[in-house]
Amino acid sequence: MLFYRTSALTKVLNSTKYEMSNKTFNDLSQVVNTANGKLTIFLSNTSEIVRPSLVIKKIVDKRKSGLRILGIAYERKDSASASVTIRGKSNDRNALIRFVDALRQDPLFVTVDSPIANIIKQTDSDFNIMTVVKFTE
Amino acid sequence: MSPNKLLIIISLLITLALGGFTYIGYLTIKEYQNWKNITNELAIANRKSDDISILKQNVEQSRDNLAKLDNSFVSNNNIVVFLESLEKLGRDAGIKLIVNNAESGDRMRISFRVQGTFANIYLFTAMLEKFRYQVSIDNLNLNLYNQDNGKNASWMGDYTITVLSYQKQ
Repeated sequence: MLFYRTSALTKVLNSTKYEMSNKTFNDLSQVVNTANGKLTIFLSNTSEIVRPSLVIKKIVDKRKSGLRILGIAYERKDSASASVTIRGKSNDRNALIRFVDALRQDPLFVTVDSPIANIIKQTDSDFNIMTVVKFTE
Repeated sequence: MSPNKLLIIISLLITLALGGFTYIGYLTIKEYQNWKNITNELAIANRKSDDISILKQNVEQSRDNLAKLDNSFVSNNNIVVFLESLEKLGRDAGIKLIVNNAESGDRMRISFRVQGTFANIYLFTAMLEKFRYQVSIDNLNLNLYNQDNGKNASWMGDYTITVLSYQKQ
């Protein structure tokens, strides 16, 4: 009786093992491994995505009357910071000073550098402002 | 037959019988061990088989998400699809977009120029950040191009982006 049961069990075991080692299992493993690989890449990339649109919006929002922005140059430095240069024309010195102050008060702009050359002319002066922005979650 | 001979024969028979019983007992114990091992193996195999069924079910249920994940990756086989999607993104934002350069190594870098109103270029930038492909905007140069139209003044933007979700194959 015991011998018979052992023999029957061996057959069941072999059949189960065959099921596990067949193509379906290999295909499933491949699907899961490929998806895991892509997910790993995808998730590790998330920290590298920063938002220059946020920088543009803040610059435009802080623009005061009497000041025109003619160009914005954004250059990503690393996963959390970028250098941004703002180019424009200011009707008078005060408009530019107010704009620079507004930028400095925003924690996104960690440094704001406005050279003296920007305010040499009393009216209608071209300006370049160099800033570094730092993105925080 | 002498009693001694009879005794010897009986002793031999008893010895043989004991030997036989011992052998059968040994075989039974061995078979029991064998049966026990197979039962254990079968239990493990059944658990694995159940795991495979669950895995299969999970893969089936995740098919849509897996397809989305696949669609967010650019490979050498679907660069054209990617470029067309980028151009469509530009059209959706209401700007003109011309791809200048594309180079692929470990990651793919694309340079392109856009032209449109400031608002539309801003919209495009925000849409690009949420693009179905993962991209990083490395360089962006926005310049006023033609200010004759007041609020609808024309701006030009030069972008360099890195496609982060890129796999060569």
